[in-house]
Amino acid sequence: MSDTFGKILVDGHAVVLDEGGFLADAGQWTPAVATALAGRDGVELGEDHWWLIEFVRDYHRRYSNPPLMRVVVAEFGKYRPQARGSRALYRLFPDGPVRLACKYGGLPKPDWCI
Amino acid sequence: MVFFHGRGVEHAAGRCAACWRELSEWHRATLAVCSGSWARRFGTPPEPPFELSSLVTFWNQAADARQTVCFGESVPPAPQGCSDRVAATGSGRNKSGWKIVIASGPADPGSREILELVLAGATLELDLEVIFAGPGRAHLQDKFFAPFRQLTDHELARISVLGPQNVALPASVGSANPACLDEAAGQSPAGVFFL
Repeated sequence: MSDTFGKILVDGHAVVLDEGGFLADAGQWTPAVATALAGRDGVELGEDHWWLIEFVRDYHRRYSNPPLMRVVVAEFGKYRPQARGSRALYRLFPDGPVRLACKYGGLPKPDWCI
Repeated sequence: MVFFHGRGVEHAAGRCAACWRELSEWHRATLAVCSGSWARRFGTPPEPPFELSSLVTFWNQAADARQTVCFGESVPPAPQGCSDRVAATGSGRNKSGWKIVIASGPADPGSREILELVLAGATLELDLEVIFAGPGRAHLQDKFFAPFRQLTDHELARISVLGPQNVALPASVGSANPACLDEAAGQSPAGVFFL
């Protein structure tokens, strides 16, 4: 993988990013792209990261918007019953679990003020 | 506080802005502009005294306010069975839940922003009921309903519909009694928004 401003090279394909580092074209997303995007931010994706990314992608596909944090907390609690509240999610993505799951999941940056 | 949301944020940029500034000076009112709605329409921040704010801030203020009044850019016809008073404004202090009446159809580009308003209230775990009325009932058609379905799927808000039905109701959507709106608007504590 190599990268230039607004573009990363993943598996030989150029992937275009917007100014926030989100995919300019959601159709370019692959798991390898997620790994590359997270790697640029110094994050190595583990099992729980992937759960969150896939949950947010699935939610967006169903409802056309990312989930509220309270929804993610509730669903993550079912997946990891020992996890309580939002703390475990912020450990995964300290700068915003839903926003970063959108970013690495190839979804648009949430443009709402919620 | 005056909160501008959806197309309402255009008040902060148009000819009305001077009037709002005057009002703000007279009453020391905060002129808060939804940052999401604003960013979709304009590039640079609004000029003071307008200030960017969030829907969550709006709900926090509304939940503590003695009275909250909602003005639409136009007042749609009252849903069948509701008084004009309910259709014109909603008011009240929330202690027993908020009712958000959606009377604009899915073709209205503001529909998405109305849903955001509901989701912001759900963030604060407020007791919310979305009531589709008049042309808003068309949201219940399968092809339009998906974004609203998250409200019941994840217990974020209740959904009901007012008036006669010409489409099958999705599961988990109930029927609203017109009297509940009159009652909610006329009796504090309660809150009704008519959008």
